[in-house]
Amino acid sequence: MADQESSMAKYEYFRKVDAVCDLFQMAIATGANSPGELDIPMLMQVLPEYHASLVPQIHPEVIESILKPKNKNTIVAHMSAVKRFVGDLASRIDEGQPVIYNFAVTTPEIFLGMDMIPVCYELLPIYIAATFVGGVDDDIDTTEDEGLPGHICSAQKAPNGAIKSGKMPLPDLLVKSTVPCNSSNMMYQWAQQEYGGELILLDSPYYANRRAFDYYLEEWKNMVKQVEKTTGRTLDEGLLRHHVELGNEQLSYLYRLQELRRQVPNPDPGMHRALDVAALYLSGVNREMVEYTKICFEEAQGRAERGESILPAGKKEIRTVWTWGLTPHMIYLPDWLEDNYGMSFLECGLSFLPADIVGYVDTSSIDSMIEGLAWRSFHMPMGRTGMTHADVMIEDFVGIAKSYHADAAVFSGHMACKHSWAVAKMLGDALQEQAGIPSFKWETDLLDTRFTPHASAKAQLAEFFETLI
Amino acid sequence: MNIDGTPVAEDAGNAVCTSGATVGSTQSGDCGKAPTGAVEELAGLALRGDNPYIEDWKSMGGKVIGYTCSYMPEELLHAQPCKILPVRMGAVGCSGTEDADIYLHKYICSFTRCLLQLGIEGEFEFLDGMVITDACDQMRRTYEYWRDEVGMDFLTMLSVPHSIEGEHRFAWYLEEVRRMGESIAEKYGSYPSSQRLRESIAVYNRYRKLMLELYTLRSCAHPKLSGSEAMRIARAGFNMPKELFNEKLEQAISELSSRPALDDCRARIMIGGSYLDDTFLIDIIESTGALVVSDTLCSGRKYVDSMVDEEGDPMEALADRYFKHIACPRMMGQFASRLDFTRRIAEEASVDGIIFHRLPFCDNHAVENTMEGRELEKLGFATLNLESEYVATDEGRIKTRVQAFLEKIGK
Repeated sequence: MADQESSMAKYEYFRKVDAVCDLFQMAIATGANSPGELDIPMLMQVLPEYHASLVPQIHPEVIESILKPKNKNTIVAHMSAVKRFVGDLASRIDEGQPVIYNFAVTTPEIFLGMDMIPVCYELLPIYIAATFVGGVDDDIDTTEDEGLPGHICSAQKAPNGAIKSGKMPLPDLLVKSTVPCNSSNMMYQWAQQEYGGELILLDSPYYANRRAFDYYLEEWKNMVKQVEKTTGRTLDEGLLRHHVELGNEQLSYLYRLQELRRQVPNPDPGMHRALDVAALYLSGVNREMVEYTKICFEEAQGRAERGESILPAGKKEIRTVWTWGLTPHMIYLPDWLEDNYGMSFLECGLSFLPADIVGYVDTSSIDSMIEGLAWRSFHMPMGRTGMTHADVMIEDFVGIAKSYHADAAVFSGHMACKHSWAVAKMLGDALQEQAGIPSFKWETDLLDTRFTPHASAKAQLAEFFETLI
Repeated sequence: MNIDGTPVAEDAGNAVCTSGATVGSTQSGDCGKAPTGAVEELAGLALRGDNPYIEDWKSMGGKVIGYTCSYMPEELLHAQPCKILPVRMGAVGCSGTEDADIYLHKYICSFTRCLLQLGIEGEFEFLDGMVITDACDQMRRTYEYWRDEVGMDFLTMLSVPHSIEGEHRFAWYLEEVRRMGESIAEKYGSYPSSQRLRESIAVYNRYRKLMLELYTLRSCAHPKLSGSEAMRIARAGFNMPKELFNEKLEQAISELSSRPALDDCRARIMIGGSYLDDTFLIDIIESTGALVVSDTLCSGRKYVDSMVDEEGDPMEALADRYFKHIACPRMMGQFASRLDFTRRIAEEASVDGIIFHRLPFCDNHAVENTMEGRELEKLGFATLNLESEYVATDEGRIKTRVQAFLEKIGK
């Protein structure tokens, strides 16, 4: 590969995410607790040219959030894991590994067990949208230039545009679970038509019962066979067990964090929920990601034992359930709401896994691991709530609202998520009637920063939380 | 003669293909006169509770079950000993969605909201039950509102796999169809014998063959009816007992065959897209002098294109046809066959252009229509991608775009 450009250098999304990891870690390593304490001119002198070129594009609010003592250690740990992942991914592609894009509800362990590193199709754009002003808007536009309308999900439009622009590699394999929506399913068909590669499906029925799971498990088994056939790799029991154990360990901390967030005051900063989403999509990839979840847990546990709040002194806590999820291009939003309104972010629709139902993957055999991963996938965010009757999502969030002692709910509805918008009214009514809490619905877009500009989003949320103070 | 079958006015000049239909909602022929033939009767058939065939069916103690998706095997309902009339639900005549919008956000397509609106208004009170599939995100999520807000007495879900490849996927669908039959049996105490199911399959195959004959009368070199008439006739087929519809359709085909042809149209157009039962769009296209000679609509040609095998196990044959009929875009891995189907129908009908229609917020057709359009352009077909609400609006904008398209293709 010596005479060829490396994947890290060639693909802008790899290089950019890798640089973000460096920049965040370097900023935190200065010991600054706020942007004002950073010696930017000095940093710009020591930064590599590419890294320095990115600095002016970073959201100032993101820098403000990551430097706060409550967020620092977890950010460093998370970025260490992501840097390792992107580096390993790029190296493997350089070595000739097929480029495998998987959809979020299929976690990576199964591919890692075949000695291949997959990347969640939607993940790298999320990091870029979270970090930079205007995030991935250009890549969304590249896709829309082909004639696709605004209501198609930006989570697929962004990577599609990035591939077209050469910022992400062409796919050899696209593995798509048919949950949660028509939009994502259509965009994977689009990507295959546009860029080639094989499209392998994990079909999910519209039920949340044993019969549906048995079907889904069969889909998983067939998917493994198809990936093995296409790539010529085989599932290695020892390798799979290693990664599944990492994933299980990671989940053990996430489950314990869920328990800690039930406490009053909530000891876990809201910014971590977005990182948890990414951690789920990177489940089992490396030891560093386990360390991230461990640090999240240990810091929250420490605060809980000391009775410390994550809020500024004197702020009354407004305990809030985010029923749709969060807005990645406003990753700093929970932190901003904590500081300004005393909002604490208890749980969200994009990161909640019901621990009592999902549990851990049984590592006793290949079959048990495939079944366990399929079971987890069946209940992953978007999967569990997206592809069955609305009653499941409603029961989940009413249960969360009650057991976490929530004061309010926020539905940050991603505009492309039609099936969720169809549930929003029922969900809000159920939360009011059964848990006695009000819900605020607002319209946002996962990755397109122009749909609801940050100032508008902040104003809307401020208005709601002010009514609760 | 005009494309709606009326004589050409002396001053019509060159606009011999101009439809006599009024652009807008098309609940019925509303001419106030008794129909003079089968074409006129079918094209003017009243819908829903005002439909005389449905009234008769109900008065004789029959049940009526509505459905919204082409993956619902009607024959299984039709064959029930308790006499069930399957009705494909449409919302023609819906003028606004004030009540449905309380429950469904504006990001939900207007067809879905219109249906729920009519449900809330009581327009579907004649239905004894409803079958919903998970084919589309928007329709599947209205299940709970039909259950809780409309209070549908019998409501069931039919879960359709997203790919036809793989035996276990077909097995799932077959099981779903069986379960649907069982839930009807549980509700109404009846289950059809294999013989009854075979008889129903024969009736529906006859229906599909006659509909294909009707398509031939449109797509041939000398078309005998307009796209607007054809859509009204097809819509009647969704709302009548098929035996009676088949009789009327045979008469209609005979009447149409003896008509003078509509030879002087400005352009031969095919439309593609999802469910469309309001002639609003076709009326606009045909008001420009063009003629809609065929379609690849989910409620049109795709709906009637293939037959159920009348040999072997009838339940399996039924499931096989409905599962594997020319696919909805939500069926993954089938793009090539869908594209090939569109190309074939367009070639058969010798079209000058293809107009794809989609409803705002329809993800399946937003992507599919764009994909098919791009590929068809490469094959030399002229295409136009249009978006409009289910409720007739935006006539001026759409007409301007259609006219510009016709000019672009030199017509």
